[in-house]
Amino acid sequence: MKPVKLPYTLMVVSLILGFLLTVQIRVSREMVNAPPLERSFELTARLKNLTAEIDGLMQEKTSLTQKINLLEKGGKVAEEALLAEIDKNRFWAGATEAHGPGVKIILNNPPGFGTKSELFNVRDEDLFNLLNELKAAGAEGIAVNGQRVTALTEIRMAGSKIVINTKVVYPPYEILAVGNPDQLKTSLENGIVATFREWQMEVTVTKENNVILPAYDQAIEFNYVKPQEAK
Amino acid sequence: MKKIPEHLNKNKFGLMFVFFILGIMLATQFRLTRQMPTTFTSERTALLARQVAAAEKKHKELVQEVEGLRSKVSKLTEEQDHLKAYQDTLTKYQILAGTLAVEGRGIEVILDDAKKPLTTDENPNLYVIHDADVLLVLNELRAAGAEALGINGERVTAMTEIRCIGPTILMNKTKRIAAPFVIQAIGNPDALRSSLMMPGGVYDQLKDFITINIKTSENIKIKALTPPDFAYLKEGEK
Repeated sequence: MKPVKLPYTLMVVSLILGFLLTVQIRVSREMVNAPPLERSFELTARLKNLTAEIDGLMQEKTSLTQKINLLEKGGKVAEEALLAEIDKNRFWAGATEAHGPGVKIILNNPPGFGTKSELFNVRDEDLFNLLNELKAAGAEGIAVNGQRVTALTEIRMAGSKIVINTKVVYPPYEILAVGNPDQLKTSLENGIVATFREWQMEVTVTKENNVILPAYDQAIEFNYVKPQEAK
Repeated sequence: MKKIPEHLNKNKFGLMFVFFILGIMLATQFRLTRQMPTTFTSERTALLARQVAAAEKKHKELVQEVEGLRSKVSKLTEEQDHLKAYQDTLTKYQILAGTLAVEGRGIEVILDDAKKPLTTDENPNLYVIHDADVLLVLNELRAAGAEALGINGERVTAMTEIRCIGPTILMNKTKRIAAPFVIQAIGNPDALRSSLMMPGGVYDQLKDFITINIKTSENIKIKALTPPDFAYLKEGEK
């Protein structure tokens, strides 16, 4: 059989036809891929869910913001109130430096040495009795040789030395007291200081315009005492 | 004019058929492509898709924001702990200042005038309680590590004076207390007791003159003192 000879025109036409067919197939496939109706239902549902979640988040955001405001304000108010109370109580406790008018007392052992005079050396009880007089005369703050007198300050003989706030102090003893200078001086001169002088101790009481009391320097640590339970 | 080749002439109908199909296809194609973007469904979907995308973005931002706020709340709540630390500090200074009612374990030292009958040549003044006796006991208790002190429930603070006036004690300027005087010390009961009982110590010094009893107590209560109102003392050094 003799092969059929086709003209070039036919070849060109077939080529275009092939090309067009391909495009057509692709286009119609794309159309199938285009979102069908179900897709918009799905999107609507998703949008609804998202909107609900966004609403919930907005609400949570509002309530969290309010909570933060309250906490910040409350915390600040509470903190300021606490710090103010701490300051006052530290001052009342003797744990801060303090100053004011008052008296300065210098107390020394009787001059000379020997067993007889040592019997009348200044003892712990002389000092705490003196402090008691100052307190009764209205002293508001006291220090002995740089040691602030607090509710827990002991004045105690350890051998022949006197220990205050666990620190050894040496004569002459310098007692500073803040209060009404006249009242403090008078009540001492008419009482305990007169006795000290009879025992040959060297003692001077001077009124001062301003005496400076150091802060209590001991660690404050409590293991047994606790606030009473409120009833 | 050039003659149409014979074989082409033969295929004239085939060729016509091919062109016919080609024409139809072209027409369909044009219509299809023009129609596609205007499909109602796809436009709605596109709109919805944009809305969903926007909502998703907002959602994501809000989630992040809320997470940030949550962690801030927990941080602030943690800061209440440092307020707790402040509260502890305050309690410490209040206890030392005596402005807080306190309780705890400790000992009670009971002082009373001597009960023994006196002979005529004994000085009765020696057998009653003096300020110094009370001060001696208080001082010893302080040295032994007492954490809070009181007499008959009244607080002993830094500026508490002890005045024995007849059968009563006057303390804190206005508080009058009747015998027997119970000196209360909150602290380690063993340390407090053994310090008082040291040979030649406070107990020995007092026992011949006045009645002194020491007992351990599991729950000592001492009142608070009204905060002082200082007229002369100011805080600071100037």
